Amino acid sequence: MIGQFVLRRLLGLLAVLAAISVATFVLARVVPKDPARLIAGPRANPQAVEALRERLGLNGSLPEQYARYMAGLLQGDLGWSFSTKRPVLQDIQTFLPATAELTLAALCISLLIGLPAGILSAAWRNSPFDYIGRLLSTLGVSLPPFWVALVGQLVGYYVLSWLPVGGRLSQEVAPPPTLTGFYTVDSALAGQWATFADALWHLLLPAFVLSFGVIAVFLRIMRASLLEVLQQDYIRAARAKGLTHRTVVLRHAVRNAMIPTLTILGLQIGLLMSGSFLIESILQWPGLGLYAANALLAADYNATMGVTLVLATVYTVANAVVDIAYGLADPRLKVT
Amino acid sequence: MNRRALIFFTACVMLVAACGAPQPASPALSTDAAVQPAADRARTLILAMPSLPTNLDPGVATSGAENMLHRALYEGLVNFKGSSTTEVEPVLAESFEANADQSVWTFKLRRGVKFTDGADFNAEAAKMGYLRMVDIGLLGNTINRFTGGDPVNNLIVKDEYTLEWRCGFSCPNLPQALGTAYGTLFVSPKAMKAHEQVADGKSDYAQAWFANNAAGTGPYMVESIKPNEEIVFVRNPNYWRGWNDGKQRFERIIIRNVPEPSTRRQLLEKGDADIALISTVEDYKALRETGRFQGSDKPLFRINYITFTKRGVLVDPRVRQAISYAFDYDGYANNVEGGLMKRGTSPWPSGMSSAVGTRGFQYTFDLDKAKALLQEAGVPPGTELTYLYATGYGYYERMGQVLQAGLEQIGLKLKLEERDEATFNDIFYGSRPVEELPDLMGYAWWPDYDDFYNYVNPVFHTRNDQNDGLGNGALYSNAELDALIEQSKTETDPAKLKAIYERAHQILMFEDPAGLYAAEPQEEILIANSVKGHPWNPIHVKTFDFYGLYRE
Amino acid sequence: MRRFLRQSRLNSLAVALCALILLAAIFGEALAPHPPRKQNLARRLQPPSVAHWFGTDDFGRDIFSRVLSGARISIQVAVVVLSVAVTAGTLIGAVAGLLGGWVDAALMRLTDVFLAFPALILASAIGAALGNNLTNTMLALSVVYWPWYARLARGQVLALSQREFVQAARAVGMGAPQLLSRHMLRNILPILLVQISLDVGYVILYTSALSFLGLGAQRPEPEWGLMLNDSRKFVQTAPWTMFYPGLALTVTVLAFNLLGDGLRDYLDPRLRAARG
Repeated sequence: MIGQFVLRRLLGLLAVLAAISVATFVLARVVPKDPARLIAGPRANPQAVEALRERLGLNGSLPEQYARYMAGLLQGDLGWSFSTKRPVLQDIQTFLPATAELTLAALCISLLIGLPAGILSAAWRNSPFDYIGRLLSTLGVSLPPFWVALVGQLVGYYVLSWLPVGGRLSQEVAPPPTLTGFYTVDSALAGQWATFADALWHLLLPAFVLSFGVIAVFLRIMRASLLEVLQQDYIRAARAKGLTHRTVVLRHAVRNAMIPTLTILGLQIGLLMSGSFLIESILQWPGLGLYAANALLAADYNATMGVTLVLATVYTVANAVVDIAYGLADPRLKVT
Repeated sequence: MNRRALIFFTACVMLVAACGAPQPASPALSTDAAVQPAADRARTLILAMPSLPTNLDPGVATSGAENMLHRALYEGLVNFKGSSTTEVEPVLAESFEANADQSVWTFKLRRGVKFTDGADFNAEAAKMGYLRMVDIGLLGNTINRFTGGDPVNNLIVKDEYTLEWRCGFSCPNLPQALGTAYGTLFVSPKAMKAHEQVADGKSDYAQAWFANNAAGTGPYMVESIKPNEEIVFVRNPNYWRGWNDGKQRFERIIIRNVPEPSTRRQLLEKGDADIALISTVEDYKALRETGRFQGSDKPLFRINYITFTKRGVLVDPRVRQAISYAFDYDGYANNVEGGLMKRGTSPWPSGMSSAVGTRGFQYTFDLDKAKALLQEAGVPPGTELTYLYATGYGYYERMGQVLQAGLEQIGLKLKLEERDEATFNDIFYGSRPVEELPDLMGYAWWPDYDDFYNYVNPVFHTRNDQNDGLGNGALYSNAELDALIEQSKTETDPAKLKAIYERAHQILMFEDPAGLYAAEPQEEILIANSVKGHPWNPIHVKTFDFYGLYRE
Repeated sequence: MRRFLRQSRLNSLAVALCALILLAAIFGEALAPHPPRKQNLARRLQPPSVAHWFGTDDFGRDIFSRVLSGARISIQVAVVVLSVAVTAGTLIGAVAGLLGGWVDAALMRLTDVFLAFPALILASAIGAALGNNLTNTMLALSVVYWPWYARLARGQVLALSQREFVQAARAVGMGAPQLLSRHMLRNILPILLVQISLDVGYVILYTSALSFLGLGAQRPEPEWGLMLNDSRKFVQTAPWTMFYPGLALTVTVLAFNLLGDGLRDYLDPRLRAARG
């Protein structure tokens, strides 16, 4: 039963990914952009542009190109990026850890702020704390992230000289030995504390800006679900036993109120990753978002395809895993 | 609780696993740069630039940003002297001279120069470098033009260090043509042979290798490339000019990709960058006023203009004249661009020796005249025109907004259409017929060297399959002008040339306008005062002679 | 209404702000002291003053007038996008929930495809193919938003199907269309309302993000995101050009978020949105 459910979910996942690959391919190619023309520059003659087009593998009909692309994809070959002139797979391996590190850091920040704030808000509903907490977190989600990023850098770097500009490490700091690709984790594991501090320092502003939009989401979910739990019979019973409000909330209610929060984690990872597009470009965080933004501008099809596939995969897989895990945790729930 | 922890844990592990795959080491892109001890900041030159395309191949890459990289790695026979746009000095040539009618030039090459891969620079290497350029085709126009399209037979290796160049016509300006850094720089023949890939009997001239690697005679070598982030150059220890003349030249050059304009200003102002491209007049002026930065006060060899597509109401030259009268030239140049642009007065830059200057026809901002012309031409009020421009430059958009406001006052609507550069290029350089082109397009042009033909032919000659009019995106065509351009190609009599320039000016400005020549921009680069040696040559736009720069 | 306002002080704030924004959207351009598109090149980048409350931008246009007129564009986009997304999404989701089986599976995988697609890549592809303008932005955003409503509607329909009155109606042979229109829509409506009021803010923010990237509104439209894009380079030299459009955007999104939050609390404290 459970095995069948997991299998169905995995098959659906594959279908989704296949559909996304076709959609991206079509979208990328039907638009009137010619990377060869862009690379060739204004003084190139048509013959030279044609030769370039051939070299880039842009000749042939669309289905032909798609077949070629998919054949490569199945062997783990995502093609070459026109703009970085390296294999797309290598580019993604270079840039994905930066984005993942940024995304997870932002996720941690928003959980660390959002969950406790949600708990306090629900436990003391309509108290000044509830108001202020909700107002601030709603303000956070309402601020245009690109605006916060620009102002944050102006104040943090230019005015106060507290923060660095762009990049993951300072010029003179060597990257730690690669283990996870996360500079903070790797440097900590290697015991390079100076590198760790430098990596954290560079991570600070982008992660905070990115987390702004999500703090309120966790606060809301936590608050709503805790309010619901607090009305359940067993909580009333606990209260009747004479337990303090604090004990009831922390010992009994919070644990059960966590489930809905976890189910949206997968969605939030996806939102954060696409949110990183803007933040990375503005704050020059050398991750997948910056790479994709450049690829879009350069009509770098292979790179655009690669990034789309990776983002979509992370997103759908994260959701599927959460779904499956959730289904395993609570077989009574009907899961799609 | 355990199960929930498990869910979170799985999600995290999955992400980490997705990213943690070991990165294959690429020998070309060494990432161990930072393993070296921190270089002394004073001996490092840091540039903050708005984009960082990193094709290192001087035979392929055509953007100014890439040309900047090429000038650190590669060299040509000659270069412009200081800030002169006409006088050249030898670089890899030791000397050069022409025969009596200046149709054959002999270049004596410098001895003892080596490429960074150990290959010798000599006449064979030079010829091969030129042929590679021509065969790839993207940047071979200059060489083709001066060899009658037959460089194989007209570039002659006389001996190991002598190259004879036969133009086939009197070509007094060949040295100037070779002074440009576009399509004139030499790659190592050894590296080319070693890395070329031959498919179907055709060589790729090692384009794939040269895109990410370099083997030139230039003063610097690639230390590391981090795409989208930065590129680092280090000194070429065997550079033929040497490093021991007492000047504190730079040991490393770091070019950072900083797309956000305000960030570039901040970096420069705080001393974390030595050179930056400053995008707004306000920032530029504020920084100049501090007295800590140097800039140029001369306009570049460049015109920012708006092309006219001759279709619909625009077929009538009076409508094009009306539009040209409806642009606030002074308001645009002095207010919107804050005086960092000079108002446009000609289809080609006013600093060029072919400039007609005030002898030629000039437009003023005159809405009454514009209205009258429109009425004469019978254009109904409310007619809508579209203006297409590429995103990311700012000035195309600002020109459009100023024109939009002017046209509104004479009863024309202007729709601004912004597209990313790839899409814009596809429309501008593509093969659409006139009917499918936008009415107006934002464009800019500059010559490779101070030469009328070199400037005018690509953008105003009728586009054909002989590679004329390659940058003529609006498909402008005027038979008389075509004849004038052809005549200028080989004409050497100054009086006749002067007549050609004046006639061409009159046609392109007034009789059959090809565009609205809005402004001549100034260099947007600012350099910290401690960095010396930049000559601000208006031809070498946004690029540097890195060897010439030093700190004081 | 009175009970809603009394429930929380934030609710009153939200209603007041939303009303103000709607007023600006309707009358803004008429009330503006200057024409929002009128250039005055001689008076560019003037700091805030009596004549120009929010200062002027780099073409000498009055920023206060532009900010005021911009409300209409943002509200208009939100209305169009959400109308399309809610209608299409609810319909598809309800059909999936009612019919179940392979239809349900297929439709839900379809929503997965759309949800997993990076919105920016989609918007930029649409922009490149059809042109960058507000209409295409609305198209792109509708495409981005409908799957959320499909999921929401499907979940609600599934939950309602377990309820006795629906099962009773089914037992007497009522078909799916009637079931939907007679019994379900009324029950789904409150939760839809909450979600819509929350999404108004996000759609506005999203639109401005696309305009910020040059993919949305075109010049000289006084769209807030576009104004931010054009003023980002003046963050040091003329900060007011960036401050006021940002403020307008923030306040608008904040107001609709608070309204949505309040509505949710008011309509049903146990009610949980499918997402944040």
